[in-house]
Amino acid sequence: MLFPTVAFAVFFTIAYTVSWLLRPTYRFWLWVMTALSFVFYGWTDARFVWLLAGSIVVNWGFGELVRRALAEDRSPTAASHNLVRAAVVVNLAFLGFFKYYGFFVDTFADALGALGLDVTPPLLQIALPVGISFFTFHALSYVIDIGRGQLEPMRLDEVALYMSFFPHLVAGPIVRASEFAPEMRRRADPRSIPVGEAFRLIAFGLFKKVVVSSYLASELVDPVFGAPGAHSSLEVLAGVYGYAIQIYADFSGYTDIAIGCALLLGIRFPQNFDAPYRARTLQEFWRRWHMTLSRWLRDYLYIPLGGSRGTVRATYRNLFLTMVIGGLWHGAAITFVVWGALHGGYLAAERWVRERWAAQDRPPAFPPEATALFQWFVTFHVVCLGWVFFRADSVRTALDVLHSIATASGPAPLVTTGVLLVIGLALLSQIVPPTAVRRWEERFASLGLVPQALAVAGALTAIDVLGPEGVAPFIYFQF
Amino acid sequence: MTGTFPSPPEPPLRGWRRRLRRRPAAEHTAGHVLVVMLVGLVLAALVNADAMVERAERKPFGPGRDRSLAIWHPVQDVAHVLQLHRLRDLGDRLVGHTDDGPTGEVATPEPPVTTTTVPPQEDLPPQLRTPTPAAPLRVYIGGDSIVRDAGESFLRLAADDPLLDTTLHYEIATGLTRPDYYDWPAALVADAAAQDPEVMFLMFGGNDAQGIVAPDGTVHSTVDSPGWRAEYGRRVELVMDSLRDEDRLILWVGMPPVRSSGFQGRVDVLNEIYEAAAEERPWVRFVDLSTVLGDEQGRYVERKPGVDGALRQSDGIHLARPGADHQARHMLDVLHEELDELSHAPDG
Repeated sequence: MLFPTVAFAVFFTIAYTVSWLLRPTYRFWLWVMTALSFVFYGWTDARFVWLLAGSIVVNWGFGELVRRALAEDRSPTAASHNLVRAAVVVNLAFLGFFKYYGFFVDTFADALGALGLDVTPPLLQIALPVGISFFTFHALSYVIDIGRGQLEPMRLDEVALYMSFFPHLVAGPIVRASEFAPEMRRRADPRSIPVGEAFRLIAFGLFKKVVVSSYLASELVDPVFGAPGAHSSLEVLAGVYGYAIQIYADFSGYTDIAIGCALLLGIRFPQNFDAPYRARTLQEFWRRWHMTLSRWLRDYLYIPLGGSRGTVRATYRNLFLTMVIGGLWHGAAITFVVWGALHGGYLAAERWVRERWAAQDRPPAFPPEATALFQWFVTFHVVCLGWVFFRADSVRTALDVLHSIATASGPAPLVTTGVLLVIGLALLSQIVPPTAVRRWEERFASLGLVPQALAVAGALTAIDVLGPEGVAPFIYFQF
Repeated sequence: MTGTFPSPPEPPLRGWRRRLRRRPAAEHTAGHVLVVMLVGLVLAALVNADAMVERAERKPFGPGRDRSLAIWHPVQDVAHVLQLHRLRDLGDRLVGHTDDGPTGEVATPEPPVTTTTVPPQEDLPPQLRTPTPAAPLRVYIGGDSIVRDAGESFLRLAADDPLLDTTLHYEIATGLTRPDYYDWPAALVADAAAQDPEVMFLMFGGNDAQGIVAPDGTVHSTVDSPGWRAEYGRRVELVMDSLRDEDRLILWVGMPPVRSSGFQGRVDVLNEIYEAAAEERPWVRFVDLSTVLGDEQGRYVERKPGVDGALRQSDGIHLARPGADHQARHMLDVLHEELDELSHAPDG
């Protein structure tokens, strides 16, 4: 079920009412909310409901076994380590089968093709279950946290709701079990719903997805990336900037709606985006972009790899590997590996420069404002360079895009005033101060019931008027 | 201490006043939020009822469409009684939506509309001129989302060819069965009038295997029924005839093999109709993709020797970039063959 649909509006109204009516009876609430989450998941394609259910049962079982294998003081033992490893292998095996089988077979066939051997390998037709990456991440975090002694195992019905809770089920944010459990178990107060914050998140999330993302995709990004050789430098450059805004609007829009819906249900999710395009370093970018994924990669990949505890070279290697694996998580294609390698390489280089700079202890040669502007400019363009590979359907297309930016002269009919306005306003939105946002929320909350309802209806109408026909799936559904 | 007197203690609040005071201003009760949601959604439904009916009408014929219309028609009736639909009309006008909006009636899809009168001509193949860099051949590619991928590849491959001036017009989720959703016959005539293409590649079918409405209002739901074949064939022929020009060649590209055996059966029907209509018209050539994107027997394959990468996307219908490139190369080959056969030196 997609968020920006009438079906979801009806579904959510029912879920909201049922949730608050049943909240006093915790177990019954768990079961009904889990059932509703399964309805949400199976709405358009019921084939993989069994996969989600299986993953819940298997990971709940692993959690129980790992807890029993821990020492009395909850410190890890060899047995608990092995069980956690087994859980990781099982989860990654499922993810690998559904997500990467075709990629590895294709890569193998291409490698043989390069040697002059034309082969047509048997390809199983495997559909990618929506959200498999996200619920696998939730499952891994649950078992690993128990193995680290940081989390007590939850009951099966609690694990079921944690992994299937519909706001975060298909595209995040990635919520750790240690964050979700207290939110789930506390008796949420039906008299204190942060209505301003929740409605602001939902309305702006819908606007970003339905209006901004769809407009840029259809008017600029899709034509440019479809045939970069047929467009001028200016159009292709604008297409790259446009994609940077499109993916931000699409993904942050989704998680804003998810966080807003969860808030209305009395569950607070962690923030997932914090104006990422105002970052002045790539490290800062990753503290602002898909923050729950960055945190997951740090806690479950970068630190287990050694983090920054070893030599300088090992730290750079760990950074690089974490980002390459993070890239591969986004999709089974070489383009995502290149994207991850670019980020990993630049993060390592940035760290190296920062350490050299600090060691020299020289006074700054330029005014701080100029330095900040320069840092922002470089960071934004490195991120955009990465997006070229992220969006392109092949490395060749990505190189075509870069080649066109450098060489293709000519008119730019796709670069319209509307497109420039949307890109410019989206970038300016990154510097809106949080206090202004809070004031807006408080103003909405202070309105009476009728003005609030009118505002909701007006926002929905405006979004529908400004949006295109139909709703494209969210970009992050494929990950 | 600031030197001011401390405020006197406030009298204790009781009942609802106490509950209200304890709650921060930014928070409301679940019941309040539910009422806001319900009133807001009902209002939004009324204001946007016309658009909702329009969307429901565009769904494929069947129970899903019937259910949607059964829900939205009464809402639309109420909206019209309350005149709330005018707010949506105002919004559409403000953002410059050119569509005048639905009439409030269930729109029965009309048969394709043509706006040109085709002069009687002898049944001779068209004559194409020999293109030059100063006057390149005007090539038009049109169709649904399947032609988008191949069309983009064609644009990319032809970008460096000074003898070709190519335009691509695709509309996602469109075809010839539902002119109420997108009127391709009218759009093609308009494009032809504006651009005067000398070669037109047309490719449809991805979304056409659905119910179709004949001019007498009969709905033919099954693709291989005689009524469906007759109506779809009539539309295909109408498009071919309406675009006829003595200096224009139409290359009608057939649907490629698809993975689903059920869908493949319907695709076979479509290709039969295209091929039969093209055979009767010397200004139209049918471009068969069955062995281009399929195996030697025309069956669906994921990969082919000589093509670097997967041919198709995961849905088993749309083209992956290597497949799109492969189809585009074939289209270019066909174009050059036709040019060799049909072109003549420019006059003078």
